[in-house]
Amino acid sequence: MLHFLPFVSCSCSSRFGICTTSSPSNGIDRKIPWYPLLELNVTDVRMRIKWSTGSSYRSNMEEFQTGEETTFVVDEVSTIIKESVEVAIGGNAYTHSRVNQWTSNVVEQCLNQLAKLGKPFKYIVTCIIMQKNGAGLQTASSCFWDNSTDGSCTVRWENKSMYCIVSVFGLAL
Amino acid sequence: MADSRPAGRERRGSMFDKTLFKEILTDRLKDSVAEVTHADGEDGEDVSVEKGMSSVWKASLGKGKISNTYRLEPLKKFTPCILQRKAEKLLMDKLKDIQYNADQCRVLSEQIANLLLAYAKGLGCDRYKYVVRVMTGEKNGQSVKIASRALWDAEKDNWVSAAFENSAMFAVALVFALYFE
Repeated sequence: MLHFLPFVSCSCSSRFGICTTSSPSNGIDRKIPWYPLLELNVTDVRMRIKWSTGSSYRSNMEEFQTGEETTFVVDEVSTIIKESVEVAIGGNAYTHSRVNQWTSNVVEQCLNQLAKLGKPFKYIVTCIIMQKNGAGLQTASSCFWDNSTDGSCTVRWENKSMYCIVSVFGLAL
Repeated sequence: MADSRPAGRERRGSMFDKTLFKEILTDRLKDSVAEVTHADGEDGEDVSVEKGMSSVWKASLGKGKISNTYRLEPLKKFTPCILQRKAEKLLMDKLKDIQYNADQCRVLSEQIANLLLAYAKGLGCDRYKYVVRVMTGEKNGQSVKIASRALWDAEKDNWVSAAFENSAMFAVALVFALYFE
């Protein structure tokens, strides 16, 4: 199934004779992916818009985005979090006297492992351990950061007697 | 010593044995479930043209076209006390006399988080990035423990926490401010 980007109709003179001002709206008949290149002169600035079909668009996007910049990789981080939680509290039932130690352990482990990744990131790790009692808990987070490089990952872990919610926020330097 | 154990009962394998460790771990964890959610700013397939343009633009510009300011410290440092007072007041105003209700509290938490973010931005500290977390829960005789730790620059980065409680629910708000050159 082909996904097409919403097209922008631009009134400009195109350098290449290939393309017209709007992208193809129906690609079902098309068998060859179509790559028109439009060069717009906007004051002193040149921008190039590359159009392509959905499947190859993402790979082009990633090519541009992950050039030299480090981005927050969710999978790595979520693995680290899961491991830390399992090692620190896996298999234990909720015990009030040990919760302090557990939260510190989880958070410390996570942070140590994240620091070992060696990426130029600042990290914030939050851990919530709650006894299972039928009560509800809502968490919300709002962040002011750079969307392209920063990210967060939340892992919600539970066993028979407690919930553990760990969030990691990574902000690129 | 060996006779003190009841007859017919086998010793559990050692956790330090590599092959047995995995089995023991899966056995311990068989009741547990884990779920991952994340926000990393990368959109799905409905990426708008604007975003596509900006990433092409960035790559063609090359990195590091911003000139040096030779400034290491922020012009205005983040002061936690002002924000703490504001956060406590906000929690008090929004959550006074409210009973816990899952939908209502979900919406309220989001509102409070957005408002706190606006307050933090309104402080006017330049070059700071903010992370706000708001947690609301029902009081049902259970206990909750919230802990956080960060890897940051201790001189310039700071955090604020505010807590609120009434007869039916509790709320905790955390704001982290991180300095970026």
